[in-house]
Amino acid sequence: MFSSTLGEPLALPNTRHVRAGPVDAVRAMKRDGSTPMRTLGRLTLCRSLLEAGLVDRFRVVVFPVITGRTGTDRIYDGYPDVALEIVASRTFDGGLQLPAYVPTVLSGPPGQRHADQTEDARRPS
Amino acid sequence: MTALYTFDVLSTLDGYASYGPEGDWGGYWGKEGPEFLDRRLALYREPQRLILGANTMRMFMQSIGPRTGFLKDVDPVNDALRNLPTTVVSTTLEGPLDWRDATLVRGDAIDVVARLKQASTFPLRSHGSLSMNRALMAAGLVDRVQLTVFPVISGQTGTRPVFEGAADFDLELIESRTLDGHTQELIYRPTRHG
Repeated sequence: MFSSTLGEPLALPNTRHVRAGPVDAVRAMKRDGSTPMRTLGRLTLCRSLLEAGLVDRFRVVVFPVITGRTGTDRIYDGYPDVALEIVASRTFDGGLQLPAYVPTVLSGPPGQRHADQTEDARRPS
Repeated sequence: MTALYTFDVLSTLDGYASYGPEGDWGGYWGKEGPEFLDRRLALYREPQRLILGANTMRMFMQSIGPRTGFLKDVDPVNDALRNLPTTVVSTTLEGPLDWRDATLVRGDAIDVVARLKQASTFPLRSHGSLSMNRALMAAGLVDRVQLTVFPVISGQTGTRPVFEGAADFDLELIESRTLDGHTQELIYRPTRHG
């Protein structure tokens, strides 16, 4: 658990409380550990780790609803541009979609191709 | 029996239909493959009527308008698209339109599409046309949302969120397929929630 504000002791078994920045800590855990790591739903943490290039798999569960009126906590606010490669995809009962991607954060100078792109990006490149 | 109306839209994983001038993604976000293009070609070759709002019609004419579009060599997918009989709903566009078979209808999209659904013997398919389809969804006139999700997140350069300002909907997933191993096409039946 990453937190600089929570107090000790944490009443959670099998939990280590890290006060340092998660990027450095996860980088060290990836370097030194052999157990796969998984984070669930923590939007800011996920974004930080993804931006730092520490996320190997990006798995999304898409529920079959549109919440244009009542939705909050947008997952991708503040994200960089990211290229994705699907490595798995499942459909569950009830129409839940579960694609898993390998993310590659895009950086570098913008705009070698065209500006003023189309509404659907349907224009051939 | 009314004609089936499909809102057909291409999107990033984070729900953007387009991107700004600083984006260097290219058409289809640079991710189109043979399966996707074959799928689109098959879709456009089915008998149907295309329904467009003014912005999407303008954008199509600028790029693939038969006389004035800047693309001179149009690929088979876009060629099939521009051959479809098309109804354009707009109060601002002026004719004549640079399109092979376009009917310009002035009026409220809800009235126009409600009438077309009663009268058309062919299914109706709309592309992009986000604000029009938002209104049609809210009015309960959209039978299918066909969302093609390209494998990118465009948190920095994305524009035109597909469902911004939409109402709340329950969706029933009717079909899903993965194209070229990375692009997902999801077809939903929407119903207003609550």
